[in-house]
Amino acid sequence: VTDSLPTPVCRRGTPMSKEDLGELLDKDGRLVDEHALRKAVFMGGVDPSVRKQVWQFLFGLYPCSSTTRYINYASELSLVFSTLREREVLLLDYIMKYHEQISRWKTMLMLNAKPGASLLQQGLVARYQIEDSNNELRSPEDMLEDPISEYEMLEKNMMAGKMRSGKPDFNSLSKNFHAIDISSPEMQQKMDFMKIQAQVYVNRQKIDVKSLWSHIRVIDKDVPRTDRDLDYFKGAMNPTLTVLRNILITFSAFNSDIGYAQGMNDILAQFLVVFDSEVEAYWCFSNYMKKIQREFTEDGMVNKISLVALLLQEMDPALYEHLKANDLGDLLFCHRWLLLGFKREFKFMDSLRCFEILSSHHLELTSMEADKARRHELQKEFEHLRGVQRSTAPTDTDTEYTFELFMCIALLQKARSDLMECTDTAMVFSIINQLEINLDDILLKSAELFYFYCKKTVEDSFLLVDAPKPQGLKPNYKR
Amino acid sequence: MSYAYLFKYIIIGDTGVGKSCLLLQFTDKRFQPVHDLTIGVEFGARMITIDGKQIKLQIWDTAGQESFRSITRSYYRGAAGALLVYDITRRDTFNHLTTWLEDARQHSNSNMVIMLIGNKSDLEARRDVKKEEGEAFAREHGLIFMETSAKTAANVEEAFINTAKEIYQKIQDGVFDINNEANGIKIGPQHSPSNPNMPSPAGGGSQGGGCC
Repeated sequence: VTDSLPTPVCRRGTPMSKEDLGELLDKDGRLVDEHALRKAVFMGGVDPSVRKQVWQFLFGLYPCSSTTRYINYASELSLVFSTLREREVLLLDYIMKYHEQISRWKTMLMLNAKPGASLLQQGLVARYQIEDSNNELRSPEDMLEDPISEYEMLEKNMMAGKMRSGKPDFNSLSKNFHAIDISSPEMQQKMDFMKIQAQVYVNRQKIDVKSLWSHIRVIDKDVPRTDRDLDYFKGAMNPTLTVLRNILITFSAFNSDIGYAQGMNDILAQFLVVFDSEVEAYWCFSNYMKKIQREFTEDGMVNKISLVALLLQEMDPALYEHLKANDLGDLLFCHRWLLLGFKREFKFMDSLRCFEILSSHHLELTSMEADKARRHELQKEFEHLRGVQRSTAPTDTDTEYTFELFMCIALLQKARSDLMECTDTAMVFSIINQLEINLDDILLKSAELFYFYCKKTVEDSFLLVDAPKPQGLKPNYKR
Repeated sequence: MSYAYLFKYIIIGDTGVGKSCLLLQFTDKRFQPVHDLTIGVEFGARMITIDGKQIKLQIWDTAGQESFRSITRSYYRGAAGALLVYDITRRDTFNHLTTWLEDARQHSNSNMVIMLIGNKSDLEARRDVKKEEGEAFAREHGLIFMETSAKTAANVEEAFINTAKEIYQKIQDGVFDINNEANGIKIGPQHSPSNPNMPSPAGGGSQGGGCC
């Protein structure tokens, strides 16, 4: 019996170009084939010239089926519709909501400030946003010492809800606003309505000003040390720091269950560099964080690291046993990899590519690809048995093994020979910190491990049942 | 490089007090005004000499923020020394010392030598915590105390080395059982009893270590 079905070939492709993206969009700018987009992103990442457009789909800023005025990314001449289309309306809505959110936490900080407190002490500005050449300004007092009653908090929230917010500065909030014409009276009316809706949206949430203060304290420590080696964030009084600060505070104020945790600044920096526009970066960051929020909790991260250990045990038992014997079996050193999606393991441009490739979720055990790989294995088995269908137990796939976990295994295996010599944590850290990684090589290796796992789960499922064996033919599932 | 002893250290304290900068100043003798925030832990090492002996310091620099504390705590295990750092320009980082101290004492061995460090002594104009307050806290809790500046390198060498001297003294006094690695002390490979060419430091027992 020959293998009529080829094993899925692992290879890497080229970054997605303007033309590639153009082919996936219809004349109204709808993304026709989301699967094809995700696959293309997975295979080669995205060319920087269309990264913005691709990320707005990848991170859910705009639904794939939404329409836009500007559809032809490949040509200089764009078709322009006279009326606004879905994405432009959504953008206006995003700006309104974000503006209301910022106004709200600022109002809350003012309402809760001690009399006579400076802007710095109120938390409205940070030291890195103001001139202080003599280093004389005092740090904000520890506001957390004073207890605030539940009632007081509620009252202040209501008071803030009644205060009027100013008009958003559209052009500074979104670099894409300039292309939207809002001059018609009809449009003005629509905007007024949007503003009311945004206020209702913000009023639904209460801000706990005490936890907001404690978040701001950490955020203000982290903002001036976020990717400062990039030109985008470099220099004293760089206005981008204010944008970083606003987004992080807004997110922590309106997502009190997650708040702020260190590492979020690293993730936001990526969105900011790509979009170079506050509102778009905020909503994509917010969507992304809500999706992975569990990983920013202690339990979630510990659980994720333990999954790496389980997967390693399955894929490379010898390496796992060695680490375990040396009290390294908890694999806690994978923490940084997983929290930041390997961001610090690569140069910035490569880390963007890695981030979008992981976010494509093309190769996940829940995705079509895994299904295909498993069906492929079943089909091969079917042919081996000359058409006798074997009954199988449901394949025991642990769908919690996400692609990034396979990437951890690939990295560990890259350092395998050194790791096999390790007897303590310090040695492990020295090795993984010096690991020179080529992104495409490691992705290729990760994909191979992924397909190997799919194949293995199918084979394991055969072992689980006593299938009726056809006469004179031994099933040959141990290849 | 060969060493007589290896001491394991941890650096703990609130976020942004300058833990990573202290480590970098000590291991690389340079100051990086903007240091990436630490995720989980980072690691550094340097050789020092005490009493004519080569001692390797293996230093674990931990993340200061609340989240993932249980992950960072796992590195407390088996530390012989701890640098507990606050920022003299931010009172809240001083106010949190008790919590840090409890945390450290709870998750590491009781003999651990703890050095209290008031960092950023170069920012005198913004000082928010008096030196006397740091001294008083240290006295009260039985810690060694120093003010340092990772920026100017003032007292940085001293902070790490004095801690090592204290640990070394404890070994001499027999307080530390050097044969138990859980204490954060390791005997150098060529000094270990299994090496027949070297006198065994364990020979002197935990009473004195007269052989070293």
